Amino acid sequence: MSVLFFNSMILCVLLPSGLVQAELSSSLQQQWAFNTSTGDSQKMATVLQVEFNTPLAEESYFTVISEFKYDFQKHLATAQERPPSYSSVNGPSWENGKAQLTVQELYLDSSWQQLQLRLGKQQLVWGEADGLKVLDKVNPSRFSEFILEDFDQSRIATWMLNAQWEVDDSSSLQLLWIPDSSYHEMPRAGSEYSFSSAATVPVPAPGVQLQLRRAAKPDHWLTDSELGVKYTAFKNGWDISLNYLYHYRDFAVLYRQQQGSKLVISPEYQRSHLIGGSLSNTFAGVTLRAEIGLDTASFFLRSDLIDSGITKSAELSSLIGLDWQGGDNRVSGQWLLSNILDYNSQIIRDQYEHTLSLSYQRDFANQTISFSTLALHSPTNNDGLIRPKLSYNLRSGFDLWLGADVFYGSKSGLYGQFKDRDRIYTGFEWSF
Amino acid sequence: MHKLTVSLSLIATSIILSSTAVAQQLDAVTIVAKVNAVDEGEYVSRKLLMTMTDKRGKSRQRDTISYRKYYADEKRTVLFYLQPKNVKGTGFLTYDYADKARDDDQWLYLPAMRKVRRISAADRGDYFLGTDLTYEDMKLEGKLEPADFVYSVIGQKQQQGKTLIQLAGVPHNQQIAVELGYSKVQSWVDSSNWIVVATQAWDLRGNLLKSITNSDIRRIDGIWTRHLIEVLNHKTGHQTVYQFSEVNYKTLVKDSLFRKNALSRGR
Repeated sequence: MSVLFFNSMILCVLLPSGLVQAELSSSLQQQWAFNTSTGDSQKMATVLQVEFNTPLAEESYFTVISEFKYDFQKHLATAQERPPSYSSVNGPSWENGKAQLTVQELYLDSSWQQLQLRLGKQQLVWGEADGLKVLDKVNPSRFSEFILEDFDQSRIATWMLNAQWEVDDSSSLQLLWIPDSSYHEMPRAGSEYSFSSAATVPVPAPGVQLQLRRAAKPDHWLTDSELGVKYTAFKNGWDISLNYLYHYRDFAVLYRQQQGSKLVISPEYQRSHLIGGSLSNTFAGVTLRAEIGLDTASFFLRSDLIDSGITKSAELSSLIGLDWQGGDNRVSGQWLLSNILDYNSQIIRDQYEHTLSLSYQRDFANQTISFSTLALHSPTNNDGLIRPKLSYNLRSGFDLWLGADVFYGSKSGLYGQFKDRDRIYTGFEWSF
Repeated sequence: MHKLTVSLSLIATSIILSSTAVAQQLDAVTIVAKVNAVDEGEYVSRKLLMTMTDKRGKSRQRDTISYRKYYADEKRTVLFYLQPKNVKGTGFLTYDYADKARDDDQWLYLPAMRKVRRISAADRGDYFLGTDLTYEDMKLEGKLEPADFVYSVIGQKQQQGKTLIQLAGVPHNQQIAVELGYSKVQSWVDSSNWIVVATQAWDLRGNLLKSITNSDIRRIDGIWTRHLIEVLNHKTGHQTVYQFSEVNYKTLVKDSLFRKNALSRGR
């Protein structure tokens, strides 16, 4: 069943009943980016997004957000054909070379007494972290621009049943069932932001030919579906959550075998249990945020080919963040620590990986002008990323921006691998 | 006929005089108490259109819907942005506690992040989401705060048949003045319904900072309601017009609207 046919069927069933009070809102975005190392234009894309909301009955609402994107250059494309990481009911509804039509989200909201349901294709974020992921693993992401795309653009909505039960005035229980087996969309080999560091992709010895097999992708709607449970509470000023997700790791595990002069890579997706929690509170004008997550199965590249070049281990990640706001100034800092619990010396990555983030934002002229900068730094690899941005709200619903993404550090690091991919970007968005 | 005219004039004059006399007899503490005793309803839903215009005449609009509900002395307020699309879905939730020593609890939902963020209660004098009212102004909703200001009656006038009492407020101490950003305020109170119809505020250097005018005040479901608030910041030339519509004190506002989950759902 094609994605277009599947989405059209749902629209036909749901739309006719609620057109009277329907709301339509749209935005047109133009994006340009230039690689400052090469001087080449990296991206020139036009994105039209249309959001449609309508009530269907009392306490029932329908939402669809669709997006048409025309990329004049395709330097950032993931693949020439439809990316294989999507399930049969996800991914672009239609595409033609540089143009793409995607149903970004499509869901039905309904509530009955203490029960609230959101059924359909949706984005869902868990956790308290900003830009760094510990519990935010419900939806897969697109990495065609590494992590430089806006999160609502790069996060891939998936089909799910999202039920929330209000236990009492201050606590609730959320249940998720996700039959949509879509995974991270990776950049095409050789594209601007394709991964090259040894900790993330196998690097063959000189003279060794690399053969990449098609990924073994579990995609049965029932047996490969994912389940999640989240309990949230607000007690004595503390926001608390306890989370559990039975899921597939969205990065394929790259198993390797030497076959003659060839190194054969067989990507497979593997299951894991994510167990964790989060909390936040404010003290004297400062917001404290923290989260912790244990993935029972993480997979790390080895420097040898024992166990097909992969070590499986539990991974414990934790994050603590502090935010301060004073007048038109906002400052936020975070520290993320990832720990491989069953570490051995053949694993290419360090056992402990630290990431620090610091962001600053200042608004001017009644929030019509905003300057922000985000710095991500890995003390482990001594590399990082700096992202200054200036935004201007020219008039109602019309924004302009100018920004830069600057990588630094060792080429073997997660950020440093893109040190010759620095870019300056600009664009506008018109909402109507 | 002449006698009748004289009699009516005398009656009218005596009514005005008695009203004036009443106003003069009331001290500031009583007037503030009467203003703060005006019924707000246990809950309310309303649409709010905010039009922000800078000194060059460039305007921006924010179309919102808000809900407010009292839980004993605790006030919960939630505001959802409806238009334009670049801010649509943004939600702001506040729990305002009766205990002044306890900071408000606040959450913000930004659609681009798809996440409800806990935020620290803003400094009271910070401006509310790019408008010309501060968080404290928004919170008071036209009430007066004797815990912050010492009020005194400094005058009164007749306007369109109504007696307006002029109150002056001076912060109790410098710390409060700095927190609020005001060294002095003056308010005009309509003695017929005890609604504040206009306020002026001066900055810490004693310069006129802003003028607030409340108009289109009428009863909705028996409750006096301001439908138009115009705020001019004299320092920046920026102004904000708040237009309320579809004000409803009768339809029960659901408790579920004041939870984090409602922020992310936009309703």
